[in-house]
Amino acid sequence: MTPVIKAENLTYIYGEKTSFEVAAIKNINIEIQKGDFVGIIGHTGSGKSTLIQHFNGLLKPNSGRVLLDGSDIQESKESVRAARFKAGLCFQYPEYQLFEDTVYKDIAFGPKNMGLGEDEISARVLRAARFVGINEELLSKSPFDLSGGEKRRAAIAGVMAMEPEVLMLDEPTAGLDPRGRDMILGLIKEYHEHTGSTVLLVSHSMEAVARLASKVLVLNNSAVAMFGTVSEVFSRGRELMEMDLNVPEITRIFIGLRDRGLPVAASVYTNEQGRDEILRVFGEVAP
Amino acid sequence: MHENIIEIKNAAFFYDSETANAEAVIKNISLSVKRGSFVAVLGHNGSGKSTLAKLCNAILVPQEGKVFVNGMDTSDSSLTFEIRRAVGMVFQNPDNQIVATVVEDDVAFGPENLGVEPKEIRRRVDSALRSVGMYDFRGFPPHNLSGGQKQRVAIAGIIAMRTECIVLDEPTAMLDPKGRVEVMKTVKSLNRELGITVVFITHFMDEAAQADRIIVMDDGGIILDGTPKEVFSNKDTLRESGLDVPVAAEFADMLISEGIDLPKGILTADECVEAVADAAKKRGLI
Amino acid sequence: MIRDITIGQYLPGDSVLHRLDARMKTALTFLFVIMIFFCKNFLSLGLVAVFTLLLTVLSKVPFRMMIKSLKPIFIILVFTAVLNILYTGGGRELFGFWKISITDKGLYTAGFMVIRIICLITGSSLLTYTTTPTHLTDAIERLLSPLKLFKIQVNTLAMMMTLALRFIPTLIEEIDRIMNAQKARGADLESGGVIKRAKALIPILIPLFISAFRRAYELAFAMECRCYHGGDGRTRMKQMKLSARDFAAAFCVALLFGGIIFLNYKFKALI
Repeated sequence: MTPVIKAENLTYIYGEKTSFEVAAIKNINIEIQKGDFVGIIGHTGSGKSTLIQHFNGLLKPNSGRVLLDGSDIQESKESVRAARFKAGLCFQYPEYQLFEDTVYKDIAFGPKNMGLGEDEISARVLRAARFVGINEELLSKSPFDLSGGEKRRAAIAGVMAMEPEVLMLDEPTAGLDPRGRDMILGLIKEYHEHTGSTVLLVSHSMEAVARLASKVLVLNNSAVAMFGTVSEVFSRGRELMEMDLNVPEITRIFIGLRDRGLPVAASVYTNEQGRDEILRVFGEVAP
Repeated sequence: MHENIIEIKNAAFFYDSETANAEAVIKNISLSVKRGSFVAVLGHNGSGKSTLAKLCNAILVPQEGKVFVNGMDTSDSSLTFEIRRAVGMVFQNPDNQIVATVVEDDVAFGPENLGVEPKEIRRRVDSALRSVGMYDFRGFPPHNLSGGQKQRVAIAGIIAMRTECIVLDEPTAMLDPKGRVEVMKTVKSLNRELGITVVFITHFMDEAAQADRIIVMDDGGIILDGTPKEVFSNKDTLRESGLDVPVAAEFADMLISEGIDLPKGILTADECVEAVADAAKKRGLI
Repeated sequence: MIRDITIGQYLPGDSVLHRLDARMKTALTFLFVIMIFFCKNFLSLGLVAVFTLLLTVLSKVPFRMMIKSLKPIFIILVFTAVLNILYTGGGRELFGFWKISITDKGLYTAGFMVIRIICLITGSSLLTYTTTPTHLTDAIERLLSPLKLFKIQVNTLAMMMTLALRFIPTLIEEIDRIMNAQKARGADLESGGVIKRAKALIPILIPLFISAFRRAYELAFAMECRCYHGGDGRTRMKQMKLSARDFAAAFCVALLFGGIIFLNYKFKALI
């Protein structure tokens, strides 16, 4: 099967031919399959945002290429534009991009740019709004009258309404409190399950990645450090910690237990797995 | 010298704004903050915690009740200056509180406003920058710093005014994990080493857990108040109010309900490892 | 692309010019600009040009940077030259074609104007190249302080300038971010006619303004919390001190002025 995204030897350099030349990403090779939910983790400046901006053609690589559904994004002007809609990207703090006088119009901005008909636009706006829990009476309001959490959701709906094959979100929960965070993560999960589309989630929260993703991409110093299933990656928790990255708290507990000599599995990343693992190990000897 | 640097007595505050997203109000809160303590205020967005912070240095004045800073009534506008000199404030967005184009000039801004002698300002700026670990960056333009570094500069700008207390209003909400750790470390060392009173407002429970005392707010009132251990033992109350409970505490609870004998009050990963390892030892597993 | 814009760009260095007191430098630059307009003939203007060249060398600002600062006014230079060549009346005709006649006086005036503008831009760029924005605002504040007598809030003006300088990079980053966010939603900023392009700016300008207002509001709070109350009773950490070097610089400029007057008077015939 053709991967939905394939990066080949992707390199991007900031400030090329100046004295501040820095490679933002170096020689990245990855394949993302249709329907995958990939968590992307790494330090600020490790290249996460730069990488995903190549997947919708916002950035043009200095060398290498990105294949979207098997064809090169940078092939022509049209293919770059098509990539915007195929791989929808929601930036950090997306509420700061709201500008229209009604929420409806704002969500419709993307679909309108796609050149869709009125009926199709309206259907998409309503669908996206329903998905993020923006009810119809809010649609006629000014986006600036919404609460913080509602603004964030309206902005995410603006990207979802383009109904991209790949939905990419850069830190969608930044600055939110636990309730707001859980709500956003919940709706992303639902979107993924419901539409079956590919989702790329850039996050600092290992808990969120552990809870939602099926695969994890770890970037370190502008290059791919690990790429695999969640349990593959988190079972290398110690390496992650050496890169100064966090691991889910529960994973840390299990690393500690292994250090104490308890024969537990290394790939624990949810509380439920942890409980079962402890019960399995303890169960062998009745208390 | 007052033992309580901040004393809030039956304070209530309403915004009379008519807009749909009118902010939460403060409902009849009484609270005192001991000199030298490190208090975390935990609550979800709209719980009133930011309003509470603004009451502490006369940005807002309660409509009912009183707030005293070092015994000074915040409703007395002739004291506003003295109050702000005693209680400094650091805000959420690191970009929107730095006023100068060079780090050291920004730190000097507060003392300059207070009319301090130039040589004394220099001394204060240098020592403030050293105590937040930003001395080597004194000549940098602020926009070249990371979020965590900017927040540390903002903190230095407050302590250069020789404030006795710093109120930090969600200083880590916009930072990455590294920046959050940096700010937390800085704040802790200021409290331990310089004896500065800290009121730390946050919705991250792992940060609150590092304070001496946690105040949990919901709907404009205080719902919990105590040491981290005391507060985090009320897991249901925290969850109902939309807050996180430490993973280690939650996990320990899960194991206890499965019949594994662990002590109560586990909060951190280390404590959890310790307790589970002990239980395993009893079973002869290690 | 948008990051290439530099306003009042400062080039770090430790040349004589860098070390001059910012107030003296600003005042002398101002005088220098006035002097350029005092020049009445090529000899005095030549003296100014040599002086400018000397300053550039002293400042250790790379020549290429100087050329760069002249680039934006290249069109103005060409325009001025052409206008003067075509419309200066009198003088001996050197070249005639249809209704156009080019005279020696036209060429002379054109050359004069172009050199004048080059000296003007170079001289004032040297000020910004060798003075940090902070020092420059400080200097302007102090030089304008006599205006306080007329109840003009010089301190406030200087604070506004500092804040503007502080937030230019922040807002440029912000524009970049908003542009990317809207491009990701398919906004087309690069094609179409003038009206279409102007319309395409709306999704960028509105969020930019809203964010700028929010920043201003938060900043005002933060400044109040740090006891800002205007200029009264305010002290400054960095004191400015005039040294022998500054008086020497003033002396050089005075000499230049004398030279210009002398050359203007002595060679009146060349005017």
